[in-house]
This record gives sequence, structure tokens and C-alpha cells, in this order.
Amino acid sequence: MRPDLFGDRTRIFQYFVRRRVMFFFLLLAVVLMVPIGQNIAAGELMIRGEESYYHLVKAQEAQWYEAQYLPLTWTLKILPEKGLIFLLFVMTFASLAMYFILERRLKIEPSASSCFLFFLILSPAFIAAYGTLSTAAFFTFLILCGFFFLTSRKKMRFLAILPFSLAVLFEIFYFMLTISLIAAYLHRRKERFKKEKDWSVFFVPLVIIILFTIALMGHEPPLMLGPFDNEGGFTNIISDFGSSGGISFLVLLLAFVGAMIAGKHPLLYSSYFFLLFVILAYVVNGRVLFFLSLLLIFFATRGFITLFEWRWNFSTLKKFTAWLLLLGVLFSFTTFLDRFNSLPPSAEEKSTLLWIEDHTSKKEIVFSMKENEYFIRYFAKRSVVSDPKILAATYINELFPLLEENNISIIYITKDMRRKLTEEQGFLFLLKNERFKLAHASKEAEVWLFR
Amino acid sequence: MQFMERKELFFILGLCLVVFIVRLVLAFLVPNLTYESYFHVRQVEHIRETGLPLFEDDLSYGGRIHRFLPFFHYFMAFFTLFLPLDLVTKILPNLLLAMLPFIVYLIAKEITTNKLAPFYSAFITGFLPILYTPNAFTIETLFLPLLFCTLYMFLRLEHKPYLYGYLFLFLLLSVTSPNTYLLLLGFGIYLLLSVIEKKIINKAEIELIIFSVFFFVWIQFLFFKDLFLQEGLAFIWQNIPSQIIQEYFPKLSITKALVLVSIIPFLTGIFVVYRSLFALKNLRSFLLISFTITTTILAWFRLIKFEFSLAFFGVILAIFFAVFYEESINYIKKTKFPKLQKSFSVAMILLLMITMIFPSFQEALQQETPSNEELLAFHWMGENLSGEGGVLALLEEGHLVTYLSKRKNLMDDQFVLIDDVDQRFKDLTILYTTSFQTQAFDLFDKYQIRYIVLTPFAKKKYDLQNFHYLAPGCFRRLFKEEIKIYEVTCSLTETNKNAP
Repeated sequence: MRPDLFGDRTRIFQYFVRRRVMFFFLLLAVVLMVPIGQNIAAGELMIRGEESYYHLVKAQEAQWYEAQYLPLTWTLKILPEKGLIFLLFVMTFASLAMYFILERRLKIEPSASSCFLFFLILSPAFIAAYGTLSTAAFFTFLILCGFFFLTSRKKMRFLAILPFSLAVLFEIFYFMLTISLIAAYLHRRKERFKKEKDWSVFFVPLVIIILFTIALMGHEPPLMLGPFDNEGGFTNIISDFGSSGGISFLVLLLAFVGAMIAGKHPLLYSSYFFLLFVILAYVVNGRVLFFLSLLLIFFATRGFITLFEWRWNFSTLKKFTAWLLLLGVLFSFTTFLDRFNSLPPSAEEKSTLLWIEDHTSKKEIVFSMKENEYFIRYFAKRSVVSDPKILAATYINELFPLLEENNISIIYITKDMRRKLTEEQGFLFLLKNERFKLAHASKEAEVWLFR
Repeated sequence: MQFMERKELFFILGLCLVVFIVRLVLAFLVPNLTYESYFHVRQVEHIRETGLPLFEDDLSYGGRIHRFLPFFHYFMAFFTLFLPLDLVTKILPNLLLAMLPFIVYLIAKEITTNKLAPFYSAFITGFLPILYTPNAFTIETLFLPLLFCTLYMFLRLEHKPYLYGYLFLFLLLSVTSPNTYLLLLGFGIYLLLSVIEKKIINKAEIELIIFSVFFFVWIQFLFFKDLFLQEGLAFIWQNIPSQIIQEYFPKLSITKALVLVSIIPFLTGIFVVYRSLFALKNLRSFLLISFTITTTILAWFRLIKFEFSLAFFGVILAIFFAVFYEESINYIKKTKFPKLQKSFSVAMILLLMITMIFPSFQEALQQETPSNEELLAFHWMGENLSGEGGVLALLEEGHLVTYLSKRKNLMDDQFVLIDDVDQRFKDLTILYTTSFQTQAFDLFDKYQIRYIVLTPFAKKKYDLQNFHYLAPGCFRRLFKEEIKIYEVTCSLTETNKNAP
């Protein structure tokens, strides 16, 4: 522990560090419960977000080579839809428990670890990942499981193969990330393994590579899933600028300080490799935002520790700066919560989709925007076409052949779609034609029939 | 005052007084305030009446939410408790800018040892053409003196009272204008330059910079949360319509810069920056150079409003002039003609007077302000028109509609958080230029406009004598002076569903 982090007289920080396990479990419970509580109070759905429904659809259709979906498939069979929240809770608390075990085993400094967890749990990136069904959260859970076993006693180490193998099946990026993480760990611990004369541990990544190659025979996973709702770009890293995750601007500033300073620490060289790797991946696909955020929070922790370890000339200013940071993090978090709770689908959208399921034939094909595809497939259980050419059509002689070619008979329009498309021309304007009939409407969504 | 001799104090205060009187004379020579000032006047008036700024405005854009930092308005509203608003709007901004030479004098005194040099800096600041908009009741009139006062406190951090002074002033700056970021970027460049030159930076300075950065960011996120969420990084351009963004963020023009900051401070400034960076390498100069670098980069990339960047740049150059003067005098002393010192000083003051005073007066007299007749017409609308309808007026006249006519406008220059700002600007231009009645009525219905105003300013701007679509039966002339005010009596729809 670093007793001088906030000066000798600031005992509150030390108190929290000593009781961090209890504190972070409590904080985690609050952070997870707040959006759920708000959704329940507003009569809204507890599972939100495009990615959540992508996985739910995938879990319903999972093949043998998609073993990573088995836990979700089984849970869906045992529990009702609302019970998925229970799965999320178990996974998140288990992740935190494993994190603390790893913290002890890897001898991570408690004060640094506490700062990291504090910034992480109160980051929009965390809520975006753990408040929904996301591969990022599940992957992190599996990686923590893997390292839990890998750092265990000799006989247990091979159990790490199972979670690591599941983790790599989602996408090629996860495979690369997992192998890099294991390699970094093995490199750091090589002296220990040398001393123990235990070379078997080096077979773990080898087995994972073999299993991944076998899975490739069934189906080649994408480089990265998504992008679901993050388009990448610098501003999407900062939650205060309207990103669907990311971190607070103040944390980014701290990360910048941390990245400048971390270079002096030889043990942290590998963190630069991971930062570069994840930044490159982020340029390709914005969905890796969670991992980029995770790394930036890591650097922010370095920055925070370094800044506040200094013996400031003006100790009051030091405390006040720390207080500002705390408020800034909380502010970004609460601002993000409002936006998080407005993620689709809403309860009204769900009821509209259920109306489609009840009142139309199973063979009918629905047209909507790409982002509604998995909601329609999950709730309405209908095939979806989301050809952007249809939305771009400006005349009926362009639109009708496209709809007929794709056998589209239902059009699902949400409030968000109406906001994005102009009413005065294009697709929405063409709906005024007599071949379209408004079959169902609510405040949030409409169903039009095309005959 | 220990830090200044009585004689020096007398001279510098005398200079400030002269500057103040000159500014006041010019302010009263030009009628009324600049167009944008009326937004601030309305805010000050609202604070005086209710104690709160008008964040939820029912009139601007037909109803919108404002986001701005309110310290300037509170500061001015405080003085309206003792003085009439009309006087406050003319006297106080000029008084504040007349104090700027005093602050610049103190800063220049910190970086030079010559007794006369700071006076030159103060004189340049007092007659800087870019600062000669004495009819502007804008945030910059408070922001600039505050900013340079904060900078002065930062330069004297080793004394505790100045530390507290810095903290207090920085707090005020953070709630006065988002342009405070210039100071922070300047600090950033200063740290970078110092690291590159391997200079030892005072630890207290680093601490204050760290605190300032976090405090400023936090305050801005508190006030502009909605703006950042809606606009992302584009908040820099303040949602200014793309058609007129060039007016606010124009290409850097050296010629214009030379006129507005004056040629002598400009040239001597470049010389001093060169000397300080490559020869003298003085830490204090680094700090000031950092601000020049920051402003130049931001203006170059069009990330800062041109006029503001020039004002800031001009004052920094004025400070540099002190360094130039001191170095020149020291150099003359070393030559075979040391007696030339006096001639040099006189020549300098004459040159400065010739190159600065005339452009300053020109700038002041060329300010864009509404005429008394225009003001009267807008005021007449507030007194005599009934009903709810909005008023079509120029973008520049938008605040006159809301402040004097107390009616809804179609547009004004507060663009932040307006969703359809580009469309509105396009529609506003159409309403002044179209010949088609149906197009005009469609837009009148869309924005619920019931009255249209044609001022001489609008005639000049769009080169027209009257609206092209006027037809008897649908437009009733209400104000029969040079300024034309019509009531729109026809509509394409029975009820106007869309509020502006």
C-alpha cells in the first residue's frame, strides 16, 4: 500500500484500500442495479442493446463449432428472458472475485489495483459491456477464468485450456488477444517455470491454437463482430462526447499522463504493445472500444498514482484535484446512464415486434434498418432484409422492384428510423403510396404492410 | 504600492484614464451597441429581474435552450444595481478594456528591467486596433483583462498571495468563457518547450497547471454537457451554419492581422520570439511565446474565432514590444552613439502613434451597429404588435427581435444546440431572396412567422428594395418609415402545426 498517496492524514483512501473487496463488490452491485432498477421502474426491458439480441439469436441457432454460445443456450432453456440478468450478475461478480484472486497471486499493488477498479467500474465502457449481453464481458470473464487456472497449482493449470478455447471462438481478434496475453504472462513468469522445471504450461497456448484451427473447419469466425453501435473514431473513445461506451475525458487526460510516464517502468513495456495492438484493432472496428478503454484506464491508473504520489507543494490543491477527478468520473458515469437506458429496444418496440409474430405469417419477410435486424429476428421470429438500396430509393419505380425482389411484405419502422430519415422525400415519403398499409402503430414503432 | 513607484503609478493610471476617455468618446459617437451585444444585454436584464440567466429561452429560434458561462452577465448585472443598464453596457466594457494596459504594464515589468519598456507595452495595448470595438458589450471585454491578470498572477507564483489570486481568477475565468482553454494550451506548450530546452520547471507551476486543467475540463462538462453529447468534437465550431462558418473562422490573413494588431508590434514580436526561442531561452519568455504559438496554430487550423485570436495575439505582441525596446536600448548603449537612446524612444512613440491611433479610430467608427431608426422600429414592434407570431429579421438582427420586440425570431447568432441550423439559415436566405409567394408562405407556416422586417442593413446585404413576393391582400404594411414592417395575413395551411 502507498500510504502517501493522498498525504498521511488522508485515512479514508487507506480505509477503502484495506476493505476494497467488500467496497468493490458493493459498488459493482450498485452500478449493475441502478440501470436495471430504472428500467424496471419505467416498465422497460432489462436486456437492451443490439449486441445482446445478436447473441440471443445466435444462442438459439448455435452449431457444434459455436461452443461459446452453449452457456447462453442452456440458460435460455432453463431461465425465462428476465433470468438472463441473473446470468449477467453471476458472470460479473465471478469476474471480480477472480480479479481479486489474481491480484493476490500476481502481487498487484492494492492501491493501484483499487484505483484501476474504481475507474473501471465507474466507466461507461464497463456499463456498456456488463449491462448488456456482450462478448467483451464474456470474453473478459473467460480470460480471467483462464488465468485463474493458469496461475493455480501445477495440476490445475491445464484446466485453463477450456475457458481460453471458448474465449477465442468468437472472433479472430479475440484469438490474437488471448494468445498475446498468455504469451506476455508466460514471458514474465519464465523464470518461475524454469525454477519449477514445468514446461507443460507452454503447451496451453499450443493446444488453444490447435483447437481454434479445428473450429475453423466448421466455420470461419469474423475478424471482429459487429460493429453494432460504435463506429470508431477518436471522439467515440470519450463518453462525454456521446459515445456508446468509452471513458470520461478526465480519465483520458490521466491516461495521457500515465502513458507518458509508464515508459520509464520496464515492466510496463508490454502495455505499449497491447495499446498499439488495440488501437490498430480499433481503427479497423470500433467494437473493440471496451478493450481500448480497459487499457486507457490502466494507463490512467498509472497517471493517477504517479500524480498523487508526488509530494505536492500545495497539499490542499492535491486533494482538491483528486476530488475533482472523482466528481468528473461520477459525472460522466451518471450522464452515460441516462443514455444507456435509452438503448433499443423499448417495451413498445418489443410489443410491436410481438404483434408481428402474432399477426403475420412465419414466411413473411420484414424490411427495416440494419440495427433492428436482431430485435426482429429474436422477438418477431421473422427473416429480415436490410438492404440500404431500399432506403436510398427516391421513386416508387425504384422501390417497388426492390421490395418485390426480396419478397418483403412487412416494413418495421421505429421512432429512431423516422428521426434519421427525412419525411419530405425518400423512403418515408414513398410510404404514402396506396400499396402500403399501416397495420400497427405505437408511439415508438410502426408496422406497414406492402401488397 | 511597494511594487511600483508613485510616479510610475501616476503615469500608467494616467494612460489608462486617457484610453478610457478615448474609448468612451468613441462609444458615444457611434449610436447603440453592436448587434451581438443585445443577447448579453437581455441576459443581464433577465438576471437583474429574476436572479437567473435565461437558459430556457422562449423567443430565440422560436424557443430553445441556451448554454453559456454566466459570470460576465452576473458581473454586469451586479453593476446594474447602482447604474442604469444603458450606462453599464457602454461604460463598464470600456473601463475593463482600459484596465488592460495596466495589467500588460505589470506583466511587461516582470519580464524586463527597463523602466520605460513596460509603458510602451501599455500604450500599444491601449490603442490596439483589434480591441477598438467600444460599442461591444461582449464577454471578451471582461475575459481579456481577467486572462492577462491570471497570467500575471502565474508569473509571480512564488509569492503566496499571488497563488491565491491565480486560483481565484482562474475560477472566474473558467465560468466566464470557454476560451480559457487558450491559457491551458499555452501552459502545455510552455511545459513542452521547457522540457525540450531541459529547463527546470517550478514544481508549483506544474501543480497549478494540473489543477487548472482538471478544474477547467470539469466546469466545461458541467455547463456544456448537452452540447458535447450532441456535437461531439464539432463543438469547437459551435454549430455555426456551414454557409457562414468562413466569417467566424476565416483563413489566416497576414495583411488583416498586420492592420488589426498593428505593423510595429507585429514585426518586433516576431523578432522577440525568434530571439527568445533561439538565443535567450528565458523561461518567462517561453511562457509568453507558448501563447503566441498556441494562438497561431489554432488560428491556422481555424479552431478559434479569428478576431478573438488576433486580440489575444495582439496583447501578447504588445508585451513582447517591451522586450524588444529593452534589447534595442541595451544595444544602442553598446554602440558609439549611446545618445541615440532618447531619439529612438521618441521615434518609437511617434511611429506607434501614427500606426496605431488612426486604425483604432477607424475600427471604432466602422463598427456594425443598428441605427436609431432600426432600434425604434424593433421597439415599436414590441409595444404595438399583438398575438404570438414570430418575426422575420436578419440573422444579425435576431437579438433585436427578442430583446426589443420581445418576439420569437427565426434565427440569431447563438447557434449552439440548434438542430436544423443549416436549414434555417437556408430558409432565412430564401425568405429574403425568393420571388415565389408559395415558397415564402410555406416557410412562414413552417416557422410560424407573422411579421417581416426589412431594414436598410437587410436591403444592403441582399441588394433589394423590397421583398419580391409582396402582394396586396396577403401583406399589410404596419410601420411606414424607411424600415418596412409587414404583417403576413395569408397562409397555405389553416393552422400552423410546426412551431419554429
